[in-house]
Amino acid sequence: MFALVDVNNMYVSCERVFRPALNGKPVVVLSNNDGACIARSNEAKDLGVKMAQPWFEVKHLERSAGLIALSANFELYGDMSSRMMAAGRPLRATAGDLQHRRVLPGLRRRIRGPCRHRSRAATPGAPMGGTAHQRRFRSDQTLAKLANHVAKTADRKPGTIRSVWRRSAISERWDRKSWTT
Amino acid sequence: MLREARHGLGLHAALSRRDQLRLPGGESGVTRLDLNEILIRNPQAAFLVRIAGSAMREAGIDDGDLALVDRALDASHGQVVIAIHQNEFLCRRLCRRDEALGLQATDPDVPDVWAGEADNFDVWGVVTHVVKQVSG
Repeated sequence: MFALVDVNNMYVSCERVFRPALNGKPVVVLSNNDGACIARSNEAKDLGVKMAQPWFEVKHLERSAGLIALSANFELYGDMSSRMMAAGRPLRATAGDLQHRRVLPGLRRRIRGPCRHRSRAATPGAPMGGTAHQRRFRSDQTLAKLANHVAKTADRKPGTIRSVWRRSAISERWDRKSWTT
Repeated sequence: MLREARHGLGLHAALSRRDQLRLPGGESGVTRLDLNEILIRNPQAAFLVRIAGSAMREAGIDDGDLALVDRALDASHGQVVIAIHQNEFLCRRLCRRDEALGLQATDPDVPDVWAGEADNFDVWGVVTHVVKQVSG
């Protein structure tokens, strides 16, 4: 049984921990040299900003929709990531850290049900450093990833695991990257 | 109110391996005091924040001090907290009167803040320790 703990819009969430004025606003974090959007708040996704979309393509939203763009602060994200990994570690029998924002504790047994329901924003006192995150429990890594995808998009694209599995692109299931590192 | 946040106090906790080999009985491992260990209960939720302003001077927290904040603790009445009010960080004493939550400064000239329904009000973390520079 695997639990995939994944921070929502990791880089945006990290910025929001220290800049509460960003809450509820459309925010993107830009890659090195402010080239492309590498993290988008839900509000920014609703404006139609796509993952990895070049900044010049969406720059007009700064004026028209109040989109806020931040240069990436990878030291901060790395620190917050290590906090989250450490917070997730006691759960696990075996853990793989996925990119910056995820921890994948392999559990000896199911914690609570096959799929404990959905988005649960971290409370201010949450020991994960206060970033909003999703947790889903599934029997293998792919299903965990998909369950997580369902949890994250449930507000915007409702559906059951089964229906989302049928509709989901391979890239969502596998996150376009190898994630077994 | 809050100018910067810093985390991760790094102090050398122990002698290097080579030093241990040189010492008779070095295997016993001399351990130096580690401020992280002494002060921080929840390392994943610990943050250092720099205080600006002297609204909390009577509580021992003054301009330029470093406050150690634990975000994993539940705040209760009377504790000094870092709170968010209308998107600003405030260091204040949390108080509860009937059902209302408020933030009080120790400086009587600073008005209390009471959380209204519409306000963006949140407790960010509980201040557990204060670091002051005394000289140097």
